[in-house]
Order: sequence, then C-alpha cells, then structure tokens
Amino acid sequence: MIVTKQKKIEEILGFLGPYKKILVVGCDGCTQPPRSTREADTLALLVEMGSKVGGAAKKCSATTVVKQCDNQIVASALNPQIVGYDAILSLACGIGVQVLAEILPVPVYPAQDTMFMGSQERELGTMDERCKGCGECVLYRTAGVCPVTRCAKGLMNGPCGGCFKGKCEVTEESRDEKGNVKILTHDCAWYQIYEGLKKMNRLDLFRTYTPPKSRLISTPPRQVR
Amino acid sequence: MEAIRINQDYCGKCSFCYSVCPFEAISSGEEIKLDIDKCRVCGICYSTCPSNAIETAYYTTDWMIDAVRPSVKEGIKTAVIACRGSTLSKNEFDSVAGKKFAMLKLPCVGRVELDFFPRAAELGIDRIIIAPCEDDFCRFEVGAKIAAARAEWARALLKDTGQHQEIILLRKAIRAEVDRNKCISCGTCIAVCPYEAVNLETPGIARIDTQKCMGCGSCVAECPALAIEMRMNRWEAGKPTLLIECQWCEYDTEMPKEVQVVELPCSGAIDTLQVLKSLRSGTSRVLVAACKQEECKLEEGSKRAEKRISSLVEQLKKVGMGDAVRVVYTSPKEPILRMEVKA
Repeated sequence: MIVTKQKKIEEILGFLGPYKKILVVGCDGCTQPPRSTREADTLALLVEMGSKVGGAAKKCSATTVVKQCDNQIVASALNPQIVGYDAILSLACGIGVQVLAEILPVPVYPAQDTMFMGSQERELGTMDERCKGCGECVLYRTAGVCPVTRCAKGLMNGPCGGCFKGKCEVTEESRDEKGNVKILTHDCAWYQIYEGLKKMNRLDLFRTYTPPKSRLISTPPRQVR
Repeated sequence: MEAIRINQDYCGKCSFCYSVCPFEAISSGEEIKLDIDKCRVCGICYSTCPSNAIETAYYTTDWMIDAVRPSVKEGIKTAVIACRGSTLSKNEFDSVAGKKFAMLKLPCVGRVELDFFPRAAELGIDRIIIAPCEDDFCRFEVGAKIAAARAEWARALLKDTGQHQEIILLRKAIRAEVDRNKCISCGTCIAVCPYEAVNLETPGIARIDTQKCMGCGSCVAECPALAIEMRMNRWEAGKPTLLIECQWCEYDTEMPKEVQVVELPCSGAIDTLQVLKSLRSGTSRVLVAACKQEECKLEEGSKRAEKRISSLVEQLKKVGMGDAVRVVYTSPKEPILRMEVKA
C-alpha cells in the first residue's frame, strides 16, 4: 500500500486561504492509514472550524472515491459533485492528487505527504518502506528481502562492515556522546537475506554476483504500455 | 457512603459471596474481606448474601421497590428489569411487555435480590420481565447466569407461596454488524478488535463473528468507511455541555440539567467524528468519562479511547479549540463525575 502522512492543519489552512467552498475527497484505495469517509469528514470539519477561528469562514463538504488514481472512476464520480466548489482537498497519495488536478476544472490541493510504498506492522503500529519501484526485482535471489529499500546503502552484493549483531549501523540514534553504539533499531537487510537463504538451503544464491542496477530503467518519467 | 462494603456485624461467614465473586475480590478466612481494588461493583455478592451483610450504594432492593412504586400507583402491573449492557431504550420491550410498564435499567441484572420478586408481588406487580445479557455477553462474567437462575428460583418460590406473578426471562446482546456495501477492505476492524471477532471473507469484506463479538464498539468508532453499525446511543448537539460516558464507569446517572448525557457501551465506542460534529454545531465543552484502563470491562476499550481522543485534542489545538474536549477517568467506586461536570 502507499503510506501517507497527513499534513498539519495550519499548512492546509495556509494554502486553502483564498477559497470559500471546499470539497474534501477521501480515497478508499490503497492509502494507508485509510483515508475514507471518516477521515474526509473529520478533515472537512477541522478545516471549517479552523477557518472560523482564523476569521475567514469556509464551507467544507466531504466525499470519497473508490480510487483516485483511475481517471475514469474519478471523472464519473466527481464531475457531478464538484459544481459550486472553489477548490478540492484530496486525501489520496500524490498520484490521486495529480489525476484529480489533470481532469477536474477546479484547483486541487494535497492534504497529505506521500511517504513510500510499504507494509503495515499492526501490533507495533508502524509502517515500513518495502518497495522503491526500481523496475528490476531481485527478490527471487534475496529470500524475499528487498536490499534496495531495506539496506540503508542499497547494496546489491552482501553486507557492508556496519552490520552489528544483525542490526544496521545506520539508525536514528546510533551512538551516544562518547561514541559508543547505542540501540540499533533497524535490521541489516543482508543479514536477513543470509539467514533467509540459509533456511531455504539456497546459499548458492548469496554467492552469485549481482551486476550494478541499471539506472536507465528507473529514470523518470517512466511509462508502461 | 462506600460503593460496597461488608457489614461484619451481620456476616455469618457462609462465604457465598466469596464463591460468586467473578473478580476474586472477596477473600474468606477468619473474617470475610472485600478488596475494593479488585472489586468492580457488580453487586452480585450483594444480591447473593443471605444475611444482608453486604451494603451497596447503588440499586438496592429498597431503591428498586421505590422506583417502581409510582408506576404501580398509576395502575401499571408490569415491570421490566434490564441490564444496561444490552438494552438501549424502553421501546425494545413494547412487544413483550405491552404499552405500559415500569422499567429499571441496572448495571448487571445479577444484582437483583431474590427478595425483590415477592416484595414486588406484594406491591401489586404481577408480571416481571427480566432481561439480562446473553451468558457469554455478560460484562461481569457470571451476572447473566445468576440472574437467570434467580428468576427460576423466584418462579418456584412464588408458585409455592401461591402468589400469581409471571416471570419472563429475555436474553439480549448488542453486537456489531458490517454493511457489506460500504466495506473498503482496509482491515482496520481486524486490527482494532480485542476479541479477534473480525475476519476478512474471501472477496475481502469484513465479517464479524457474532459468537465472539462483545459489543465494545471500537470497530464502529474507527471504521474509515463508516461501514460497521451497532445499536448505540447517538446524539444531536443541543446543550452547551456534552458528557459522553462509558456506561460502566458511573452508576449514578443524575446529572445537572444543562448537561447532555450520552451513554455508550464502552468509552472505546466514542466516535471522534460525532464529537467534532457536535463541536461545530454549538457544543462548547465535551467531557468524556471513561473507566481506568485496568478496570475496562472490554479489554482495551479505554486505552483505544484515550489514543483516539488525544489525537483529536492534538488536532483541535491546532484550530484553537484544544480546551474543548477533556477525559475524566472514573469508577463507580469513587463517584467523582458529577463534581467534574460542574468544574
């Protein structure tokens, strides 16, 4: 799913300054945490209340779309609804915002910062990056662990010297004042790849050389036909 | 007066209370003792004690008789005793009890003493409808079972003494349901449910196992698509102060008139969107009364409520309304809510 983070209300109120009537559009698709009717309604109310306190009262309504990244769905669902609105506030990822901006005649603003493609760890309540869309998947030889997103250095052939007891040296707080290693929070991707391949009895894959990734494949703008 | 206590002068040390207490709050020994920290004030011991040695501040038999007396004077001969955990409003009983009846809503019907039945018969009540929760739905583990057994016992007792009183047992429960057309398959309900009662069916639509659902309402309050429904008190903004309370955190329900009181099955069922809507349409203060986390009857309802409310408060602060919502942790053991409401 695409992981997003809601922008601060003050920021949203800032760029919505000149508009009076705003439609908040949720997305039922893959954004995580979900941004559907409840979130759209909540944001609409907060913007309304915030603008009232700020002096320039706005009117907000909320609606939601099955997925904002499909231009046909968006056109059929939103075109009849946008009559009379000055601006649209989209709760989708960056893709949804762009699709809306492209096909709708009113200005569209993002309510979220799109972070990455990732997975959700429900018990810890975290969302972790898992895919960068590099265009040449190597998961078949890395025991299902992506070195592109999960290795801080994006190494393709085994760990660097910073693998410490299975953890990565690149962490938020890796050293204290004296320079001693503090708690290492991230797992070393290559350590996990090694352990995974060992379990699968395919350590031969670990020894196979992977050539450098072709940046050509991942140079934007990309298109699939 | 304390919420519940043992009067040692009357105690016959029969230890009945010790054997019925679902929370191991009563210890037997030289002297029967009640550990108020473990007690959840269900009142099952109060109704079980044969020598009236247990005194409680809430819903005593005398109080119940006094509560039905005015209706009897109006000629009403039917009384409904319902648990607040599974009954919302009076009209749920219209079909069984007829148009006119006296209704008492108690926290757990297990606290109705056997005494109540003959005393009500004496008063002129000839039909009593006892509505406890379903056995596996009871918030106090054994309350519903005890209520049912006691109704049976009362029936036999009254028959033997030649009094004509009909006792009807009606079991109820309030559980969540998914509106299949609205579900967006996001899986939030699965993560939220403390009872592992929700599954995603093969096409990806949430399904709630009615055997496992305990009706805490957490999924209802968090479903992003508003696809989960449960019979629950809803509210329209009206009065300046709105008190949203968990129905288990306060037994004393009389509040000042200017306060709009909404009872929910658990603080975990508090819908922050509803709260926001009230704030927009004129409510200036919202007070949320929740059980302390260790006393939550529904696993982690109180914890979830705290998380949800604190993130709401964070957002409200940014729009200049941070003071509008406040959480009060309370318990029937220390009835502080009324003071907090006035403050």
